Amino acid sequence: MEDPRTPDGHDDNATVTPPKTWAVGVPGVANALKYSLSQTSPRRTALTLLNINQTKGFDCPGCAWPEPEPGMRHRNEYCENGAKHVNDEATTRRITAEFFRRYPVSELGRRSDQWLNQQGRLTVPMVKPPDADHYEPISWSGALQLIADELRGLDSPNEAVFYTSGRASNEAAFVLQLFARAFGTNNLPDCSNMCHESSGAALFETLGIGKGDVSLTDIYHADLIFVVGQNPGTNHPRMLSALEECKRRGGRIVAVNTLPEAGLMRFKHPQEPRGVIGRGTPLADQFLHIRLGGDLALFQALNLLLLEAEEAAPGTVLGRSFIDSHTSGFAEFAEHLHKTVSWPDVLTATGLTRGEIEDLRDLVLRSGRIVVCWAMGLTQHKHGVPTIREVVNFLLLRGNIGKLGAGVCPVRGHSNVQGDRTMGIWEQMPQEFLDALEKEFSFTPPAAHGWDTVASIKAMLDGRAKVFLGLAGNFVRATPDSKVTEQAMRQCRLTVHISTKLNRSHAVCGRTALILPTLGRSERDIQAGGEQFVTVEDSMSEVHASYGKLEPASKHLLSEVTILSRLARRTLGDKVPVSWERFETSYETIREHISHVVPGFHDFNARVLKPGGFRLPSLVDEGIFETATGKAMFTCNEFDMLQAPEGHLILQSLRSHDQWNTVPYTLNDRYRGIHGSRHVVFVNPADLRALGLQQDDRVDLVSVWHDGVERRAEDFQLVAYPTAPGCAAAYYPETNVLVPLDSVADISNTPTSKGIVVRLEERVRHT
Amino acid sequence: MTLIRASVDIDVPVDIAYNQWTQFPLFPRFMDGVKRVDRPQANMTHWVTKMYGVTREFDAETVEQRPDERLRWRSLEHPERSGRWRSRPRHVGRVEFQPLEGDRSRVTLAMSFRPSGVMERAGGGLGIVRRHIQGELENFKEFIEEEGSETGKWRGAIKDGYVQPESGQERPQVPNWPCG
Repeated sequence: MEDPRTPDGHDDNATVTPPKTWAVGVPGVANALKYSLSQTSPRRTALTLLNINQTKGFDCPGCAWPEPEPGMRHRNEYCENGAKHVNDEATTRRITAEFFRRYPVSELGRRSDQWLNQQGRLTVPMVKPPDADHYEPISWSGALQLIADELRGLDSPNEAVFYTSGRASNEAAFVLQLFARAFGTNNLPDCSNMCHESSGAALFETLGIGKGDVSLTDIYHADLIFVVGQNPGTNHPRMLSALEECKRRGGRIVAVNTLPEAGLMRFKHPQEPRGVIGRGTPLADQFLHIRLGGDLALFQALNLLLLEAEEAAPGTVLGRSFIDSHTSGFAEFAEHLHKTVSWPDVLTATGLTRGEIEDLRDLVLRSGRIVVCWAMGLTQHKHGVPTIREVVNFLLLRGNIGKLGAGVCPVRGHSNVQGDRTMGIWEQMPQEFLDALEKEFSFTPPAAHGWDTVASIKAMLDGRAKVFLGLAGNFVRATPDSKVTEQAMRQCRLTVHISTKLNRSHAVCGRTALILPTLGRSERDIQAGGEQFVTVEDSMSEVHASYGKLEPASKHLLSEVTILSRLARRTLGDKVPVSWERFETSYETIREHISHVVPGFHDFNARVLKPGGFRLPSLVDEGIFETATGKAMFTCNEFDMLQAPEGHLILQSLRSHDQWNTVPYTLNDRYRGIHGSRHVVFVNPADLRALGLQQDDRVDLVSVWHDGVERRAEDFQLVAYPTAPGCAAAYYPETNVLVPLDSVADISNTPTSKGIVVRLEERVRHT
Repeated sequence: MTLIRASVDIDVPVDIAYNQWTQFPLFPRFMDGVKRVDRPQANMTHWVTKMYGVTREFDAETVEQRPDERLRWRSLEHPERSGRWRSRPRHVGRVEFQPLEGDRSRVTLAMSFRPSGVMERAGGGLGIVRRHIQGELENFKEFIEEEGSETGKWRGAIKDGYVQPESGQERPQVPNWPCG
């Protein structure tokens, strides 16, 4: 596999400085501005920044943290990464046909992710014919006809795969799933397969809701907030403001993480005087420096301690009335914990002391209302689903579900990943949804489940899938087992990407490949029916409008809705009685259909126009639990932990601070003290000593898996860092190559990117 | 804490009076001092009030709700844009519904709060507040008597801040499948 680093050349040696103890502050703003101005003009910078996340502005295409209600938003309601992301999209740099004449595809495949991203906005549709090594211009009608012909030429609709990434708006996602189903397949993998799928599975089983039930009001009024396996300082910086409000009201925060991240320690609000002048607000009241994958053991032990505390002082610890009226399975759960929790196992799995866990129990006992927030640190493990089920057990014990200031809060990192799923982007949509589609559009969608991301890659590998279409995203860099995934993509007869920026997925492509350039979220979208807006749904189930403000990067761009509607017409003809052309004229027509198909979206057009949009109610807040028992369910989960053989470490992949999902903006990670390189691996100093290695040595990372295949990530600089003993960390997507395709979470099929066993092979000793 | 009570007899049956009271977003229609009420979830309301030129905004947790009987709440702080948690009169309150003879009902509102404004602290100020609350109840009476029946209803029960399962609430329309 070509190394995507060379020959850009400058990702060489990292300079390492002490990590920061605080996050955001004025440097956050300054960095946002510096990056923005390097990409675009001051006027465009101001226009984009002042319109992010405002009521009549556009939704930041970054993470999915919600905005405060209208009237409560800051004029600068964005974070550093959101600002970079938007200005990245708003860059004045352009990629034209001349660029592709200059750079063959093979050359693009040797360039770094950062270099590719920096080349600017895609402006015209391009095609790479079979056996060619250059993209060449193609007309829109030519491109769409090519795809239509390929799709119609397949032996079965299931030979096509339609992938969605979280930038896609509700409207685009709805049209894509409608097209795919009208075409005849449920092959709808999406980026959340790799993200919060474990959360959806666990919450749906135990609480009967597919998503979180916590609002910003709950965060403000919680007495205690857990932030587990999540790094808000980098990945959801605006969440820090909400946590700060909770603290200022007297709430407390517990951080559980394998690394002591700056954002958990101290927050300097860049838009408040106290954040600019002062030392900032210390956030975490307790920090638990946990081993990778130790969270299941932690919550089991904590739950046992709470049960024991209740036994010692009956009636003072558990929410008995709530347990009796709202839950099922308590007795079996209590018995299971008493029988199975072993403190030696817990302490080995977590790397914590019993005292620390007992201190946590004491903090819990002082707290009436508790919220647990989490992200990939919980979901991307083989035992991710049982871990989240155990988190639910914890919240149920003291009645922290369905009450104000309490609940489950899976925090999503992509602006509309939740909305896409709501719109039907899932390979196993329930029959009621398919029936509603049939009733609305008079065709019968396929009933058989389709493929998620991992299954799609396997199908592309063995030839069952031949055509790949990606709506937004960077599939080859978001996925595990990079060598295998890239081979799978290359085997496709046709790969198509609907994109705003250049990325590696355009370089690692099928025999025929298409790049379809599209409008960004920040850009005006003018159709025959007038200026259009799109809608998105955030992590807290608020659905609101997003209005683009900037002039499009090129007059040749088409919107996602337009591209998909025209493709559907060309592919399907009159096969289904859907007026695709009306969709692109006015997105109101799409919303009208959504209002008939998706529950909770009645009067969609009218309701979404209200400032701030509307919130989808949570059933558990209404005392309704659509589970197997009709109540919130306690579950019995088997203990599990990650272990590495002697001389090995467990590796997690994570983002740097100057990165958004698969896109690195720079080679720096200033909160962790890294400057100038992304090829670093963070290792605890004690582990370095035990392995006979030292800071700045260069190593290869080799993952260990039972299939005997060597998965190697070459040439990483060792950085001594306070990561939990036995646990290492390195950036993705560079280390995705180490995650075996078969190494997935039980039930959710999510790649286990936070728990890979690796050995470090020395290359160069630092002298 | 200061207690204020007010009460009104209404020429509609108790269930109609109760049902109407559950329709919080409509309060600004007939209550002079209430500018806006939202009910983002069953056990919470958000209020914007304006009395004597002073605008206040607060969240209220519904602690108890029993159809045709009572509703109890406590106010919560609300963060301001400036980042201050405004010290405002925190209050708890309850409204009770009693059936009376002849298909009539009595609605009694009692609130305890910590007065903070100058007006409220002055003795005369409390009297003004009490008269205002009484006036709002009279407005409610006038509204529901003119309507003759409730404009909507929510029949769930809330105890200790939790909506009780299967207590008569309607299932809201929501998309319900797992989200990744």
